[in-house]
Amino acid sequence: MNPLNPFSWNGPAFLGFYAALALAILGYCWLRTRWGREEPKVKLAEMTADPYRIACLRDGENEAIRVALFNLLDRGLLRFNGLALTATRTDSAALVRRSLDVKILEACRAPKTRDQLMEHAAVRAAARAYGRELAVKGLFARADEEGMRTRLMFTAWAVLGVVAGAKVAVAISQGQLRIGFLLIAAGVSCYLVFKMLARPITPAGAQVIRNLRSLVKRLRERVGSLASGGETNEALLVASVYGLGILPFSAFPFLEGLFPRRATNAEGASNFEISGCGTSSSCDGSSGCGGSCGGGCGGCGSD
Amino acid sequence: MRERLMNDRVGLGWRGELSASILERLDAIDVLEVIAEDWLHAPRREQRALRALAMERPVVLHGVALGMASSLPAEERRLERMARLVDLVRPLAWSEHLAFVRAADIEIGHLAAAPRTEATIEGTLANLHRASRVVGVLPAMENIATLIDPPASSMDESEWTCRIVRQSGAPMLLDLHNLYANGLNFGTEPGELLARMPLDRVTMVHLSGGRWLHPRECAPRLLDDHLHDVPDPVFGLLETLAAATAAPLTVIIERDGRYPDFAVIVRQLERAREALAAGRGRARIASGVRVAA
Repeated sequence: MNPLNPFSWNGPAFLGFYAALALAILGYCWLRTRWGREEPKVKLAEMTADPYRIACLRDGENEAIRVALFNLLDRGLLRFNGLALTATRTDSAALVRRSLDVKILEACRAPKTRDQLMEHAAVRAAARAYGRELAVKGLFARADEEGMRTRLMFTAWAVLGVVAGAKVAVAISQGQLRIGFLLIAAGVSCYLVFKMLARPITPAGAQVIRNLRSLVKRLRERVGSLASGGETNEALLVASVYGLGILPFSAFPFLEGLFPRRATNAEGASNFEISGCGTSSSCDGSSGCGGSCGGGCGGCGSD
Repeated sequence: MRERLMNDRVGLGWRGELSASILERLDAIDVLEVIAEDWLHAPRREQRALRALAMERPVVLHGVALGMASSLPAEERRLERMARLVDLVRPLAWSEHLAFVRAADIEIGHLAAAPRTEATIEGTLANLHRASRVVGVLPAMENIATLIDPPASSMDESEWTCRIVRQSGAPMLLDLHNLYANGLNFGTEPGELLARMPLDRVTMVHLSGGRWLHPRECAPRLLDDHLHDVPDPVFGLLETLAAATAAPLTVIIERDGRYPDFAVIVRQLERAREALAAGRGRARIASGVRVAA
């Protein structure tokens, strides 16, 4: 075994080397997405003024469309018959102000399936406008940054793949076939690189989502009692911040047919069946349920 | 209206249940008061959310668990946590109650009125000194409501409060509904009780609502429960206070449950602004300055 040539190291030693290499690459990618970035100053009020913006930030343009559909159905401006969505009034587009709402209602003058609507050109254009706006605010990667991220991702994959592939070749040439752990390590490393670099959200954007989740977590805890029918903006905000999977079918029965869920996760939120719905992000980590002690102030009648 | 109030601020207690409405109507809110204990134990990344909120609207941190009005020392670790939160959030101010919340190792779970004695004045002053040393700034001290006159007291509420506030140099958070309730419950006209408070030290004001307990009995008590709208006489007290003081006031409406439509709360914020403006107007007239309409 040549101590200077890791490809000659035995399995566990090489796995350690590979893990260190993967960590170094991930660390570099993490730093690279932050280098030279000026921290954007985005007001929470700007985000909450249009919850579709939050949905787009959290999980992309498709998510903005999904949350808009939920909102219009909840407000009774759209109807879902189990197959198609239709505007309930011929003038409903005049009752809303957001461009995405207008485009959806216009498109739904004639019945549209969910998938047709998600691919509808005018609807997609309205949703893309959110992405562009978020890029201008520094919450989504701009086009040049996206290019850099893509190049970085492919470079990282190449390094991880070539190193793992070379070791596999060496192992096989020496008649050793115990390469499973290395393949798993390579797969996991490449997936982590993808997770870090494939989504357009910037660190500042992720911080905005974390901030919103911290601020509205009490609403999440009482999601079962949120008013339906568009009476308040609570359900819309919760859906935008956490994803539609957080909302109960009992209060919003139309969700069951429109966005069927695959399975309920441990936190009580659910995953959607449709592609790209991204409930991995709708329930990821930062929520830190509970935690607030309630202040000890309410109703004690003495403060 | 808001332009005329100059440095006065009118805002709302942050409650998770109201968060969506508050975030949607930040334009109607000048300042937010956050219960510090809701955030003291939160992970740092969650506490940063409060900092983001404070960058958008001034935030006041309101403590409910230090137990400042006590001969027992306020716990250093609680003060240190408060100091860390103050450092991170950089609030407009922080506040606590003229109350005790624990005795020996027993947590009362309630803001209890301390006996108004020399001993509790000394204890409170020591606690305020400690708080100032650890946190770096004195908290505004809030008068509390009580349904019983604290036993073994040797002075009345206003004298006790004045001595603590004046000797410590702490600003005062004057809860006008607490004052109103104490006045009615113990037979003092609330306006008179207000006049006896250290008004020159008042920088912050709480407004809230309550309900009558045992209204048909001979000694009904007004309970400050934060579950009802601010009653008209409390807005009247705010106007009187605004007329009597020159310092800018930060007025917070507290609501802890039975939340009405948020439009009702926004209307109460407007009423508070109107009361402040009326009081400031009275003061200007009284000082001989004619205010153009």
